[in-house]
Amino acid sequence: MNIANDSFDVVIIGAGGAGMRTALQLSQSGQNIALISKVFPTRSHTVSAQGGITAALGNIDSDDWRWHMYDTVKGSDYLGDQDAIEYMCKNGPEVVYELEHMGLPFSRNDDGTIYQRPFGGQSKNYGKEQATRTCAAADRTGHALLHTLYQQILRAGTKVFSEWYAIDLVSSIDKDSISGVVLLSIETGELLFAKARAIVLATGGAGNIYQSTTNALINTGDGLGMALRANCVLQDMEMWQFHPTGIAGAGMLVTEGCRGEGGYLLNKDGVRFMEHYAPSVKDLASRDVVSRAIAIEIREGRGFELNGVQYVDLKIDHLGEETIKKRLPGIRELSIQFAHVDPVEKAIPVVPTCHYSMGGIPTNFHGQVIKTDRNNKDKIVNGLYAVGECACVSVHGANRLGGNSLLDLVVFGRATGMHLEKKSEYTTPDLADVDKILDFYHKLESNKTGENYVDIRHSMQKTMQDHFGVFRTQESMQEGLVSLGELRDRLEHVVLKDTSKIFNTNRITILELRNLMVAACATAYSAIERKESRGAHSREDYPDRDDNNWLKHTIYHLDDLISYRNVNMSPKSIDTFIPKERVY
Amino acid sequence: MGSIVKSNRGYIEFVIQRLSAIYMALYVLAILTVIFINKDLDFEIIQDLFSLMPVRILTFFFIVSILSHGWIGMWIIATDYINNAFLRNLYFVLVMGMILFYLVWSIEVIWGFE
Amino acid sequence: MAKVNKLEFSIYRYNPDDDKSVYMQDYTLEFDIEQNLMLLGALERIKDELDPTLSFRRSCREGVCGSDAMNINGKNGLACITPISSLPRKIAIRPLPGLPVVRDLVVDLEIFYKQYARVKPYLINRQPTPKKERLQSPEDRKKLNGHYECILCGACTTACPSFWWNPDKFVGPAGLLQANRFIVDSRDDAELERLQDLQDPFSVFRCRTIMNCVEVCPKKLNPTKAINNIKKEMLKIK
Repeated sequence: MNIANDSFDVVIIGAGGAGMRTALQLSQSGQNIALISKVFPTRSHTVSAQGGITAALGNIDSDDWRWHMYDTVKGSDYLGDQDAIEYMCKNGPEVVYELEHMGLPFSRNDDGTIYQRPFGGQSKNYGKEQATRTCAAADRTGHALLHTLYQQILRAGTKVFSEWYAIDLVSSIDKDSISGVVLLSIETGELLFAKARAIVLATGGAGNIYQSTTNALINTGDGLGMALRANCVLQDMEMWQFHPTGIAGAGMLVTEGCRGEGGYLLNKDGVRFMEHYAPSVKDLASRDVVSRAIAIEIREGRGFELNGVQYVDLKIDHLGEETIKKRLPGIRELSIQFAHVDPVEKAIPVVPTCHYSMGGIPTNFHGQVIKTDRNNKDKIVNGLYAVGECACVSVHGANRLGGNSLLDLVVFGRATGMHLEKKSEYTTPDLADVDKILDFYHKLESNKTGENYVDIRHSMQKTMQDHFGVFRTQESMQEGLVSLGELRDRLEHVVLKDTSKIFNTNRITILELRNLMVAACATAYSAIERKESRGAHSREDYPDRDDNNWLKHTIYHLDDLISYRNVNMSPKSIDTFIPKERVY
Repeated sequence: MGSIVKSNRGYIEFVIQRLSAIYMALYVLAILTVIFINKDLDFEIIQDLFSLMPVRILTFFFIVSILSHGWIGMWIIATDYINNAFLRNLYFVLVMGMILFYLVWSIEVIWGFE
Repeated sequence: MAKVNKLEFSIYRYNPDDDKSVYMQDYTLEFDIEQNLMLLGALERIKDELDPTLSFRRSCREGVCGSDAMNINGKNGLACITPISSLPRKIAIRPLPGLPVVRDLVVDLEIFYKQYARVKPYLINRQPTPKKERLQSPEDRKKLNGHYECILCGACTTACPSFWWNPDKFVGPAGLLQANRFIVDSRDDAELERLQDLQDPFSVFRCRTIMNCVEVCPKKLNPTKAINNIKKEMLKIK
């Protein structure tokens, strides 16, 4: 091993909402931490979250965290772990107040309290009337949250490695723990082995496995790849949320807040079709339900079509110019820029778009990464934590409710930070791991002929889009799996055309593609295995939910094998929510 | 960050620049008014005007305004464009010298040294 | 048949690793004009199809992360929300002016971030922390509009000559916009301290109100107005 090295109490990889909330907790308790981010922190994808952060504050209407918990369990199609959901919903109000105290510019009610708006899947009294639970800063809540957290870590003096890329984790010599990580400075090409008592993965989503996604270009599942290569596992990777309202043809997110504020969907016959799919809550049904409804409308020929792009309309003009400018200014901007439509006058063309990965690295609610062996037994991976979208706690199960992801970031970011306040011991790193990483790195450098990364990436995205989209069948997925296998082999021989040390985005793109491929394969193998329809995983050949056989998490292993893990049905302070038929 | 000495200078200079500008504008207006009112303006009238003590004092303030306004402006230009410390200081000495020279000269013009 | 059009790009190139000098490199890209192509999309295509060595930053590709600010035909802007259709057929792209170039279109923003950090861009409130949220009236909250939306892309600050001449001393429009955001926040009780920290001939007063910042801001914010408010508040405390 001939690279520079350094040691820290904790190394946090990823500076979005989750990573920064963890970092803040640890900085305030005086630990020597390194916050690694491949982009400057405020460029992280949390910045794009729009509608809000859900917590039972009850500022507008009566509310209770238990109702929030019920909605989340039901929304997850009962695949969410109830102990974790309980923890999240119970701590929701507190973390939101904390954010407010940090200065987050929430919109306000007339009495000066935090403004809340209704979101899909929210109810009062365990499934009765619509609740109003999502706290918002206009339609820029993620932006406001991310900047507020960055401001706080500036204040706390956190050490930030901005524009550093984490290549791979390094295990301990006994292979039982994670001891460090190999980092690459994007700006200078310098490599660094960072040893740590604990590593926190907070690398976000991997939406770029699909052709059309609301995700930023940086969402490449780096944490998923790193964890898997370090012999950890991935959970529920078949569960990808397709957001009902991405701008058709462009993919930008249009917040659920539009429908929360009173907007609704129309097909080309001018019919408000959600009335048929979810008679009681209509457009505010869960995202998986609305996305499927739109997909069916389009498939049955009731969608619009322009330049080969099919879509339905999201109408908000009846809310009036004033409300739109006050509550949804960012949406108006995006819509004008990317759909050439001013929503004050005309409906926004929308289509279900890949948005969020419910699956990820399995953890408990302290953020500790869990590994399972083939006998379905949990084991905590010493020294490794995961938090945010890359983790699977699992609070979202088979379908995430809107406004729950920002909550997930801060609740579990904080919980992970608190758990790490008690310092553990350093473990002895296995330097052979470091050498292996460096070998790979140099091999990539010396490949002079071979495969073009652009072709591989495009083919992978197309395969995922065509075979693992909103509706899935065995046959189609099987085909997809074959092409993914070929693509994965081709990636082994990829060529790096630019070998400069300085700000080499070509190299980073290839390293990212390696992680995307892990996420894509994990998704494919998990999806083909789950022979039922649950939440976002909708199989035409198995249209019903099958609690007898499939009320369990899928676990994807490094060798493409799948095992299973029980869903936690034991909240601590409330009775278990027993799976029921899910109607909206 | 750099070498900023905390002081009230920024604010004071900002105010001086604006106050002096207003004063100069008013003074020029007043003089112009005098010129337009007196159709047959001649040396005698001008001499009489400037022999009045209030006019002399107001004129002196006008000169002070021009010079302070000018100094602040020239100082800002130098701190924008001249990076070399020696050249910048040399420039300051020259400008300050000129300003002092104008000050003394204008006192002489207004009051005369017998 | 898709209608095809040709775009000619002239892009600033520099790599300290192997280039001896800075030069402009030309690329020609064919694209379907029916497609709603943004400049970032065109740059991605140049990198994917023509030249993998071209370096630039990008992330959200929807104008909220602030990564891809660059100088487009002489004017600073975000590539991801600049439609190709709004540009002439010949497009010259350079890095943001006034900062050291790391490589190609990537500039070193360190001093820009330092100036941001200098204004203490975080809420300071020394009152005991309440159990629930601190109350703020909708009117008081409205004062934050036009401030908190800043994405720190750097387009404004690097379009400001005062920042070019004194990047280490003049905070620049982006930083001052955030300074004012906390000055006007009804929950912040450090207004006096904030104003005193900015009290010198450079930090605020180098703004000559030429409004380049307002002209280039991709989020249509008005830093000049914020800077004038800071000056006004300074007069009030005297």
